[in-house]
Amino acid sequence: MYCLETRQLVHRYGQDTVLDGIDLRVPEGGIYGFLGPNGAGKTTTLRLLLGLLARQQGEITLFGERIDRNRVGILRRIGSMIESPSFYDHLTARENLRLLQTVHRCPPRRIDEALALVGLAGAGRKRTSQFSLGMKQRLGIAIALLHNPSLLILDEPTNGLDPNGIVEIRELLKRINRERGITLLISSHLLGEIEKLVTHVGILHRGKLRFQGTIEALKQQQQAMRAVVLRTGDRAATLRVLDAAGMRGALRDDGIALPPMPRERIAAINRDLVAADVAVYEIGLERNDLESIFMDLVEAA
Amino acid sequence: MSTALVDHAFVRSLHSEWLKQRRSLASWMVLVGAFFTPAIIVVARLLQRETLPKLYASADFWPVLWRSAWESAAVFFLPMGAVLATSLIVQIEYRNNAWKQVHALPLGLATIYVSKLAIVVLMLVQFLALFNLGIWFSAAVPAWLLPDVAMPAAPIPFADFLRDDLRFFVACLPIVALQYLLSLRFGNFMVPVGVGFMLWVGSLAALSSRWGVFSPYAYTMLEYLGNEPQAKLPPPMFDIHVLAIGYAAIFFVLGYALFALRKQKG
Repeated sequence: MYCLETRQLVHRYGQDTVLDGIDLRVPEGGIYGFLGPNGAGKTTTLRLLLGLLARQQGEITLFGERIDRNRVGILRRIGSMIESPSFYDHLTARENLRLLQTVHRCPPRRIDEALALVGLAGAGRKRTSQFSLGMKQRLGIAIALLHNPSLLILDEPTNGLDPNGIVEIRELLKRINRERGITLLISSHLLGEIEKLVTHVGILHRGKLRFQGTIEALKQQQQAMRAVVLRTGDRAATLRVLDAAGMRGALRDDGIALPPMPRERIAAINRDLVAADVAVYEIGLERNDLESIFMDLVEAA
Repeated sequence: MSTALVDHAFVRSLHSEWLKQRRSLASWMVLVGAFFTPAIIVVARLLQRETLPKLYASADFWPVLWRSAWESAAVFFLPMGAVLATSLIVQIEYRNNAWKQVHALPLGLATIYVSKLAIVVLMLVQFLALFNLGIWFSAAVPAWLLPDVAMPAAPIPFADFLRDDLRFFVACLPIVALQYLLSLRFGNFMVPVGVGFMLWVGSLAALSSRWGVFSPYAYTMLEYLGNEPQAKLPPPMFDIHVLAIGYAAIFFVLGYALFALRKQKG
């Protein structure tokens, strides 16, 4: 069951196609990491989901309903923070939450609960103009969580946070997902962050969704594709040995890259190199963290 | 108030908008603007204290004070206050980059549009109420401070004052509606304020012309100067209140159409 689905979502700014047939599928109860470099179209997608941009082509379905048929009803179940958090700087944090609590019709105690949840319990009476960037980010999340939504859409939620703050927010998001069953859609370009948080991932680049699925599926897909990297004392001699073995190596800054191969073949190459008196310093597989996978997908585009 | 009414989306949105304008520049401006002219009157009267016993004893004390207080308010403070306050209220969203949050709330477009406009109208009512109070204080303060001046014995003509308030309120509506349209359309604060100021100056210049009655920014001035024989204004071709309501309705509908049809909201 998908909490959020888009079908062939297309968006253009003039002649520039920013989104080109996006089919997002965010499973209910999951944490979906929406990844992509700056300018990939992430924020445009999120704005379309919330109706902040007029839809040009394609369909958006949330909680099984098309957004154009029941926008207000759907928005009741969504909490969001798009780009930088928004609040009224002449008001205190509590007053900012109060005016939204009025609209959402949630109990007044939710204001204190939301502030406590993001670690701002002591800052409720402070004007938001005096908040640091990190505090603003936390308050933005508190605002999104105020009415206990079913789906939380957060655009780069850890922007401006220090490393401790990043860990705290990550734990908070995991907790609300686990304890309250809130589905999360989080966009980010901080790949390391997403890897530790999400259950599912969508990778967007140049307006196209390059991958979508679970983190495990992404890693498995790439596992079979990992290149072998050789680091030796003589690159020219190494290339000659590889050539004789019928293999073409690619020179890189960190060594010589070879296409994926079975372990036995790697051992054979090692024997050939030793026999040719080439010093072998290291034979390894390419990194397999999300960042390198992401870069592979983006560079392959 | 019934629970159903309190729970209505418009009432909740209105309440939220009211909380939003607290301590804003617009709310301070209403407060200062309403008491500015009465404060000047108090100072002027204290400087001419020898004339006060006779003035306070006259039967038409209140109408004279009323006309005197409204002179600057009708020509300058009310129209320019409406221009600034409307633009400042909308600017709260632009300045705080908060339109995207407003549009992501479970509120219909019409609810958002009308509730914010209703706040401006409520602030206009608030200005009129405070201004009336200020006029009373401008009479009371000299009487409190000066032993030879007693509060006027003449009764306050409440009905006449209320009627004038209502007329000035109606005369101000087209300014509020057009400024609201402009402020929603242009995020740059200078655009609605600049246009509003130019239209006010243009209206002031056109007052003596018979076509001046068609300027939507002229009605507060016409409301006041129309009753001043020395102003020598041509008699209006149409009822200015009907024209004011007509303009306000047109700007209201046009403003909503532009607001609803914006492709990018926030």
